[in-house]
Amino acid sequence: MNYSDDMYREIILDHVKNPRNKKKIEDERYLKAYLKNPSCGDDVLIYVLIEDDKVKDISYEVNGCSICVSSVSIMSELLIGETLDKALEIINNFNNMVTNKEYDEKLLKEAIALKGVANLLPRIKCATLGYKAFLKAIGKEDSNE
Amino acid sequence: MNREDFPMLKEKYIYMNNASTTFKPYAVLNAMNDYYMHYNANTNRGVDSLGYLVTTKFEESREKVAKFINANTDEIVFTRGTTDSLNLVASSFGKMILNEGDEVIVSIAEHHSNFIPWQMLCKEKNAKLVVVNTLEDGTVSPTLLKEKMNDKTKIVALNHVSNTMGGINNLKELSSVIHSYNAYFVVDGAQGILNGKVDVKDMDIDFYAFSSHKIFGPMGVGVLYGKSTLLEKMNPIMFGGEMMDTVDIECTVFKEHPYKFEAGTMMIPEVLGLGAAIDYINSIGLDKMHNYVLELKDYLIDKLKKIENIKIYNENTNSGIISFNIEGIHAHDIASMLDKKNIIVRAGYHCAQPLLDSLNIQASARISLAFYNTKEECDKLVEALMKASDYINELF
Repeated sequence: MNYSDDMYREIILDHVKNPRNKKKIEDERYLKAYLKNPSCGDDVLIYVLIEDDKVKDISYEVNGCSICVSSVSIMSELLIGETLDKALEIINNFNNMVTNKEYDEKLLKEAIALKGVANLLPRIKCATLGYKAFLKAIGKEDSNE
Repeated sequence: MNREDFPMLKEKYIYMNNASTTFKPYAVLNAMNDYYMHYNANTNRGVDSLGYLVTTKFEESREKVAKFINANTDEIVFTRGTTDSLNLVASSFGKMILNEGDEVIVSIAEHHSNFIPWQMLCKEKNAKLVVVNTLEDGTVSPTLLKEKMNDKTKIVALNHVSNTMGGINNLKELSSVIHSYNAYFVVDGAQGILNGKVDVKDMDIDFYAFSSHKIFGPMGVGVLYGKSTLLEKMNPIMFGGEMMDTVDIECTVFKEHPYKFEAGTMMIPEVLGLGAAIDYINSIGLDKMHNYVLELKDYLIDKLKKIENIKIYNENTNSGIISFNIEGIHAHDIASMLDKKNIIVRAGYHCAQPLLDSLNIQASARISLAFYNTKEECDKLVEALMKASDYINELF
């Protein structure tokens, strides 16, 4: 096992134990979307605040496995502060990473910790649930299929 | 037991998901291949000896199924499986006898296939769906059932054995309560056909549904047992070839049961495979299989209890089904981690969302043993689970 694999595991474990931005939002300005993974029951309710075409804030409520929880937590940190266009580019790259296609590592930052999901085929849906919910919230749910 | 009879056991997996589906012995696979290789023809049509041979074998399978559950041959309808059978009862019998304001009782532990058809029927008929709670072991207590019954209750639909908790319902006692109110008893026997003993006459059951693929038979076929007097009254819901006596522009006369419920070309090799599966079970003995599974289950539970932070939901079960969680680790992560070691269990809500919701569990892991599992396999499972707290390492 090389150093970077251990690092990935630490990142995932950290996000599982201390998910970032996990909270319920009552603010009407936030876009909301709920998604459930029908095969396993994992679900996420995401809150997204868009201002001036930028992702101002993301938070969520989630019930799910380690991959689902860590992925949505990492995603929230990744996308906050980015323009919508950049956010879509990041999401596209994440989808590529977990389906063994070409992707830009630099864009994904901590999310590359989840690249092992590409070898855990039944769990890809867990890793992408948060991203799909984000797309649904901003009204672009089919754009990455 | 008998591991050499199952080709899948030569593969790398330690398979402990038998409540989902079971492996098939050579006897079943050969029966199906034999059909396609040596007497591939249709049943009942034409006057050829090949068709006659196929028809005879097909009906022999029906007889085997009838004997297996102590029913009459004409009370056995071949369907696509348990879900298909339960939907048939709901859409034909249920639709016929249910009126506005009537009540249908199901338990909180029902599999979606024995929950949703009744939910839909009640909506359609403006009837009331009543849900009875189960005891901790997933069974329905006859006393608690009685409390929910009244003169508006027309149908009670319950599982024989719960696919999550492995609790075995006392069908005879429940039937007695149900019939004392002149209601009908529909049983989801998907898990019960193997885990419990079925004698539909002694238990006085009105309808019993089960699937071939859960008793070492092929997928694609299942059974609906129905009391003769009830099947007689029921209208078919699928129409076409093979289910009618005479067809004319004005009117069609249906065949007698069970044939009126078997429209079109049936899944002939699958029916033959089911017959072979029953022969296979009888050659070993259902009791012998069951006792072995219980012994193995006791052995496994004993070892599981030593795992840190494990919560076993049904340790006193009399079936091969064990439901558990490990605190701090999501059930999917447990299952994924075991999967990496080629140990197959199930994690999720097991098509029984109402039950898991009521127990405040989002997902649980489920082990379901069969008579071909071994102590060594159980040891490997426990060894893997001991490392559960290290699951991120194990997963990636």
